[in-house]
Amino acid sequence: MATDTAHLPLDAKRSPFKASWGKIMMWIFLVSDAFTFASLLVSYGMLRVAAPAWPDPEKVFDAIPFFHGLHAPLVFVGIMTFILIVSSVTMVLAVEEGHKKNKDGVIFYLFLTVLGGLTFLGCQAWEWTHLIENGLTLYNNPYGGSVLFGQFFFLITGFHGGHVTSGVIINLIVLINTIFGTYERKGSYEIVEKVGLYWHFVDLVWVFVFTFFYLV
Amino acid sequence: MATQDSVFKKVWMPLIWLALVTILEFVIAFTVSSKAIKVPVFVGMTIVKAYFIVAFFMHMKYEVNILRKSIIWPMAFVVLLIIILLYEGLKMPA
Repeated sequence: MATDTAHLPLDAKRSPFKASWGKIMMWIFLVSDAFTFASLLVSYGMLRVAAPAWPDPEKVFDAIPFFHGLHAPLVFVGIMTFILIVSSVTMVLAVEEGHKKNKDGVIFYLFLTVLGGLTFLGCQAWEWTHLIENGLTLYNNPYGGSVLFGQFFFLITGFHGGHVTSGVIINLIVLINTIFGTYERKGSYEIVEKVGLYWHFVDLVWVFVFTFFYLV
Repeated sequence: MATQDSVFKKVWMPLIWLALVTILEFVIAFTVSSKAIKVPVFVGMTIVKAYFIVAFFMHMKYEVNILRKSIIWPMAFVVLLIIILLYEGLKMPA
């Protein structure tokens, strides 16, 4: 059967997934990225259960900015978690506004999402600086227990922070394009959905990092 | 785009759940001291939070069945990795 398919439009009308190519490709990427994060977290779990001693997270993560010397365990990371979840919500609202083709709404909520991402990164930079000043590095652990603690902490939160950084940059590009009316001319704000998927994934990873580094 | 559900159900309801579960996690972190109870409870709560993010924020609930399965089933490899590596880790000489 010599059927020529070149004339067919490259959209997803025939896809059994009933989703556009772009969204399916983003999902495939997220599955592979989930494997990467899972490998990091599971190897952390393996070496942690094998380690003879491990520092107590409530004693490590007990500082908040501007309140030097105050013992406030998990308060700062609670704020960080809250910021990231709220920026995920503003992303959902941006997608909703995109469905309504409301340009101003997309701009407003995307701007808030970018702001939330930048705030989270600022918090993480402060936390890293604080821990490094306390002497937690890749080859030193002042909190007692295995030196692997610092190595895994900086590797995994750093890898997550790298994802947040790229997410902020991508959101910023989409925001600038929205302001210049690129998607209004195109008649579709689907790109907001695609970058939204990535942004929610970053939030999802944080949920796991939060549990396995700060709570357990 | 299946958007039968209201904005409340898609945005605010998951947010309320995420906030409640996170607050409960903080309460447990400060009140329960037994690791044997805390760790499984935290893992369970993390999976609950992951469900709300993936199902509602990422619209997984509104995708067709085959797409959902194509994404969820490969995660079985992660479960396998957890079982194998934690077993090996526990057997490792200190």
